[in-house]
Amino acid sequence: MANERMLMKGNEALAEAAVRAGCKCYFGYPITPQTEIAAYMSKRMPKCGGVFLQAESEIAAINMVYGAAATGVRAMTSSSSPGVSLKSEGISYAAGCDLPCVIVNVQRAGPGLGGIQPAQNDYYLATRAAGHGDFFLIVYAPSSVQEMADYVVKAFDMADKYRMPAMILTDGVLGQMMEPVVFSDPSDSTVNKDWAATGHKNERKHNIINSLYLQPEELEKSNIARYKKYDIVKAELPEAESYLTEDADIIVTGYGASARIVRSAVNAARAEGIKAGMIRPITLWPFPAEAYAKTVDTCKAYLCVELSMGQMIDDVKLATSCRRPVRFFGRTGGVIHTPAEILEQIRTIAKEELK
Amino acid sequence: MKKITVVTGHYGSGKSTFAANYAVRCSQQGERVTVADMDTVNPYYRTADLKALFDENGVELIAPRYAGSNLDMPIIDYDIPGLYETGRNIIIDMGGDDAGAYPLGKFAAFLREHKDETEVLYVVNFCRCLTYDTDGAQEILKEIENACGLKATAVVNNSNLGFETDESIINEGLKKAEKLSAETGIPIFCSTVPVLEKCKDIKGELFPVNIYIRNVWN
Repeated sequence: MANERMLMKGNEALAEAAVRAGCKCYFGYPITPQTEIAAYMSKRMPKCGGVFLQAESEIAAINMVYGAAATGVRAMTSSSSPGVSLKSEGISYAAGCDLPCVIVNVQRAGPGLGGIQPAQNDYYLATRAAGHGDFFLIVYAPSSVQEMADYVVKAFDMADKYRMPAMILTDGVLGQMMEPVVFSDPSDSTVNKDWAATGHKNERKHNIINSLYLQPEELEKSNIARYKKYDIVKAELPEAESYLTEDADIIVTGYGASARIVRSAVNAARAEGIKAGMIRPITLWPFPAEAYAKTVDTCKAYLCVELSMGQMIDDVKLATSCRRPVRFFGRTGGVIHTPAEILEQIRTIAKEELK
Repeated sequence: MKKITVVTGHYGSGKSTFAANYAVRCSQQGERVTVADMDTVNPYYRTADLKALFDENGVELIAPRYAGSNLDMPIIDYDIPGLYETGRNIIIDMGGDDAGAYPLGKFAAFLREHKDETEVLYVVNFCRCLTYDTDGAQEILKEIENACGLKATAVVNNSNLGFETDESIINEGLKKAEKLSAETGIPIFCSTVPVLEKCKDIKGELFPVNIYIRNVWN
């Protein structure tokens, strides 16, 4: 069943693709709406020589990922918003040790315990403050069940390539919805990890995985070196989809589930003669600023649509250098916007900004 | 229809969609039907979400009181003997997999006592990753039967690729369903076909299924 199309939930497709990408260790803890990832892994991992372990907490799970990744194995954990908050200390440690691993956040509504319905309120958490200290994660935002599968593979590959943790930032809509998916051939997971703690067997010096520096100058040196790496990632990795942007007067932008709804609204606006387009960031860090920058001369106004009170909008303003108005429309608390609501926003902008 | 129909199956196999379609169909044929949402596993995409459809079609809906709210509580605040006493035909929509079938165990003795009036359906979609072949379908079936202490009495073949379902998908599913039936000795209750423009000319005795559960952009 290598290249057959199958009907899968986003969570399952992500889990299956991770297994096919060579993920050998999955550590998790149940929380709606990502529990299917753990449930799927518990059935699948024993059949492919992998490890599934339900940890005693989210904190334990991320530290198990830290340990597994330190030995060079492809390791993953997943959770939903409150659970990812708990993981933040471990994520920072993994980043501080340059450990490649994958963390999945199937977002739900917050803050606090919030609710179990879908949200996109962890953009800041993923791109700005996934933990303490100076560091970033690679952040992918899939927008279909197919992309849930494709980008978890890419997340593993890029995490290995750049030696840093990667996050899949998705939401309850994409995790739970079902669509046909086809799995591509597994990626080459045999990256040479000569830094890994695999036992020196008296044949090489110790590989030490550690984020503690006894001298401030050494820590500073390490941080500066890591940021030089980030510059390379920023140059090489940004990814976005531009849809009908070339002649667009109004560009609507959103990621993940929001982008699905935005696309419907943009099509409806075009049918009314409004020149609308869409930019959908696929990498949230590094943010695909270039995709926006090249539209600034022709586009008259932007509309940022999120299932939040407005977080990604900051990056949109930076990417457009605030040269055009950037408006915001969002629903929160687990409420999902409709194409009609977004279309209404586009009409209003057309009336007020396109004179 | 039997007095009690229990709908079990793998996660995402189409249990709720089938249960809703079957309920509406039976109600339209004059049966007095109650749908009981017994999904204690997944708070998303459940029969309780289809209240408007059931109201429109004279189907009674029984759901745990926190269904559709933010309280993710695996509770069932009704019982099957009580529903049976109402004299209505009951369709019970279980949660997915063995995890979702466990609550049925509490009523297994009652259902065994009313064996002749009870149908235990196993819904299978052969386009799903873990039930892609009959081995996978049998494995999940066994897990469900062990969890609830009841044997499936019939198979609902619900093989589909969502909006991409076509004739070849339906035919492939029919073949696998017949194989599963031959291997297990469990008869086929029905095979479904989604109500889609491109599926309307598919021949055979198929149970048409409306896709009631949709995303906002569809």
